Parts: sequence; C-alpha cells; structure tokens
Amino acid sequence: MARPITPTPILTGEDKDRFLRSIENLRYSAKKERFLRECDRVFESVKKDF
Amino acid sequence: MIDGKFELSDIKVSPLSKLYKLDDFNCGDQDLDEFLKKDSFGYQDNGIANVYLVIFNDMVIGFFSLQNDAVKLELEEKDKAAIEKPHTEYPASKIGRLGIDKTFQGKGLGKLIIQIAIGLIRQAKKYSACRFITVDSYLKSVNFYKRCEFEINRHKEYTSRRHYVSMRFDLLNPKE
Repeated sequence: MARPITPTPILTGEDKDRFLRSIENLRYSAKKERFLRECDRVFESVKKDF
Repeated sequence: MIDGKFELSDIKVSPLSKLYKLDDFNCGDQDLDEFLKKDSFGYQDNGIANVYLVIFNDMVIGFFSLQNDAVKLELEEKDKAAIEKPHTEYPASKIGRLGIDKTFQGKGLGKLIIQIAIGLIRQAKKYSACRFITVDSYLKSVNFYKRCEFEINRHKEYTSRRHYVSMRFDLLNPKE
C-alpha cells in the first residue's frame, strides 16, 4: 500500500500568524488573474471527456 | 505536440476507469505507481479521493487525485480580539497524488494537469465553497508549484530535511 494521503497540518503560533497576515494582506494580482483564466480555458477544453 | 511540448488537443482526461490499462504506467516513483495501480480504486470507491487519468493515444500517461481538505488554525485569545470574525478552518481541495509516466516527463504535462485541477476546482467552488488548493510537494517539485502560484504552507513540522513540503494556492484574487 502506498503512503496515505494526509490532511494539511494545523497551523499554530508563528505559522498561524504568518498565514493570517498573508490572507489579511491579499491583493489583486494581474499575473494570477491571467493564470486563473488560463486554468478555466484549459479545464473547459477537457471537461467534455469527464 | 509542438516543440516536444504537449498541446491540449493531444490529451483527454477521464475519471479512473478499468477501461484503461494501468499496469504499464511507470512514473519512476514507486509510491505513486503503487497508489495508481493498487490503491486508487479503493480511494475512489470509498469516497476518499477522486482519481483522474490523463490519456494520450489511449495510453495512461498521467494521473492526479482530488479530495476535500482544510487549512486549519489553532487560534489564540489575541487572534479572537484582533480579528473581527476569525475562522479556524478554511476549506480546501487537495491534490493528493500527481504522477506522469517517465516517457512523458519534461513535456509540459505537469503544468497542464495543475491547470486542469485548478479549473475543475474553480467550477466546483461555485456550488461548495473552497478557498485553497493544497498539495504535499516533493522537495524537487517545490519550484514547479511556486511557478504555478503556490506558496509554502509553513508549519511546525516543516524542515528542510522532510521529504514533503505542504503548499497552498489561494483561489481568491480580490479585484483591484
């Protein structure tokens, strides 16, 4: 049997603070927007096979 | 294919199915191969993970699995005071396994698979909320995921000596 797939570890202390800062300070990114649009386009073109 | 790189029109994606032969699949990683050949149907049949096959000329050349996950926080009193409505769990989808046959590695298939997974999850989150995509990356693949806009999910178990690095992709991109 292969190694099990485990849940993402719980964030505590400094790690949790860093995470909260990153989501509080999340800003729009044009590069990410382009990437997300590309993901949508790629999925749209293969989803007919699902 | 153009310049040795896969084009979307070269591949199709299918949910895990016995219609496709898995015995010849070899991604060079015993754990991933074993997951696909021995465990994947059990994961899927028991509702633990959905597994998708990437097909080229009727051959399985790659696969990935998706399942629900969460980014969980252990909040302290100071967090509850500082943040108006703190959440202790952020819903996520996990790319639990991703493998590409050795013969087809280095041809842009990994990025296509990530884009398919992100596109699929973006569709699904219209109906059931999801904030992050998570992955446990091999050390050698961390830069690949960074190029796909993932960031390291640092946690107390994270050290450079571990074989796997927890990473996350934030599906939110607030408008300007």
